[in-house]
Amino acid sequence: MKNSQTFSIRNSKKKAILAGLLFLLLVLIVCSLCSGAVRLSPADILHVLINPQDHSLQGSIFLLSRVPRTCGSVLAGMAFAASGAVIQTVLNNPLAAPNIIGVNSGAGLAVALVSLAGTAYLRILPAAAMAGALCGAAVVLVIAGKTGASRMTTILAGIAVSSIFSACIDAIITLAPDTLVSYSWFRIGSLAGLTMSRIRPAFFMILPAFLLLLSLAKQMDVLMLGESTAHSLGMNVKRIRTILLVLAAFLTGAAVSFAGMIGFVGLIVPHIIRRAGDEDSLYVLLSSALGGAVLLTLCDIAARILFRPYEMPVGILLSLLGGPFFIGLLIKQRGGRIHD
Amino acid sequence: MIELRNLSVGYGSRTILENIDMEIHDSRVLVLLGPNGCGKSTLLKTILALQPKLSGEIIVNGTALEHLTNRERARQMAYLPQSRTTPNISVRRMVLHGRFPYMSYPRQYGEDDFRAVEQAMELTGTAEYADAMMPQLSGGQQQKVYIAMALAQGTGTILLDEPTTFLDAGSQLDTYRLAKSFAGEGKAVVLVTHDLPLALQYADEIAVLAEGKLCAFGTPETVYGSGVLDRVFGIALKQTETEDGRRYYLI
Repeated sequence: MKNSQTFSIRNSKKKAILAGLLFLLLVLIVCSLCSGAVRLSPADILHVLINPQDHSLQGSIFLLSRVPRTCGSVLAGMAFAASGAVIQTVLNNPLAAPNIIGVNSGAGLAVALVSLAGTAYLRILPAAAMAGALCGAAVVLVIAGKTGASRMTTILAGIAVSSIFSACIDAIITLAPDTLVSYSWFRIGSLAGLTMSRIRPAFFMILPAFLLLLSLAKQMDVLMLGESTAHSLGMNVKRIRTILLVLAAFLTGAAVSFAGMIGFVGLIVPHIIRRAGDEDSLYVLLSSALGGAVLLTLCDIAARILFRPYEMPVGILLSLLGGPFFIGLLIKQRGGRIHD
Repeated sequence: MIELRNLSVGYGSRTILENIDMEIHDSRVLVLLGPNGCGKSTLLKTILALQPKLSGEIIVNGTALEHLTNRERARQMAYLPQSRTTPNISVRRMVLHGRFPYMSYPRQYGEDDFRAVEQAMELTGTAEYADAMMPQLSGGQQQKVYIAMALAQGTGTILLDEPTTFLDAGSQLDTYRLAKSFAGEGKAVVLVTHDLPLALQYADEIAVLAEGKLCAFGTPETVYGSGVLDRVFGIALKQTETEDGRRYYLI
């Protein structure tokens, strides 16, 4: 009896964390819709929602700027953090982040190449970034597969491919310095000037990839026990590992296509979630997704209001605020984990 | 029952064990003994298809190993590897992972699975801390949880690779007693260990692996009597009769 009581307490703790994150996210979404160079009150927003045909300045700002931007921060935050959670689990490495499977460098190279082709092609930048991200991940996974698809070969292949792609990017920027303008937007990561048409294709990649990942939570749980144990439990370890990494690549690739390389979310959010408690994969995936959305939306609001009317790219702010917070957490909880 | 016929194991071009002919019987504890690097763990991994065999046959309950799917294999053989990770999940969830071979995507665990888990936890004495988190447990308790997970797998064979390493004396004895009780319920238990006296005390059969081959196979008495252990390990092993039965010790 005592056991079942403890069990329900732990379950309800997880539920409380999820509910708390969801509530926080809803509050931040409202704040995000209101904040910016022009302040909108909740009453203004309600007015626009009730009268969508109203072409006031507030209405236009709300519909054309705030809504896409808020959707973008929520979607990108979810995708980066869930992707990071998957990659950290699959590679059993707390330092792993989406960049480790070549997604960022692949997208970066595609963006640099499109920038090199000229301003006429800038419209296809998001699509190119997405394609580049997926190609980067594909190259890493194929090399990793050819070398046994172990955790170590995947990480090493990722590092090698990333460094080759980075060298290509550096070469392009050195030979054609003009490309630096659009490339640096991408490298830093920003949610300014987002439109729904840029977010939409990413949404239709992120949603199914995330749902599929949720359905594979048990496989992730078993993979966490180590390759030998997972194999002895009947799992085709190589196949599951590759499927999970491909889904993670889809999440990050889609997010990178409209938000740029805001990679830090994917590293710290799943890490914080794991340190806060349970490593049950379904819970880690859901809470990382919510946590990522909360963190990115929060940082994006700060990016808009701290230097109003000017804006700081959210990628910079995220690292400036998130970095010290993360270091503080590491110092506070040192020795708190067993298998780090 | 698992039959090994003319089996050779190793890595690539490097043969570690050659021409092994052996039967792993139900209802018995078989202990694999041998010096470091003799291929005990490699043999277990080959039986589990964790690595390819070099030649020969492995027959699991009448079917060649290569004809079994991953899931079919996992329903017949459970394995406790030498090195294990300790995820931060509850004991009950951990044992529930043992039911993975019965879960087809995207089905969730059902009544049968939970029943098997509760039973495995009762038998291994882990039910009392079923809701504790894995990292909070002692090494001995974690080991029992891993064994409970293997038990929940509901297989006829359990392969344990050095299950008593890093455990205190009491936990080591618990592990051997559990192995013995599984054999009592009809399972074939294979155990790799370096503890000769306990192995001789608890095993029903002993296989001695050394110099790339199976040096001896038989009951503890016959293996002890042949002097092969003294020769292989370069030690002097003695036996004595006690009130509780025959015991072995090193001098």
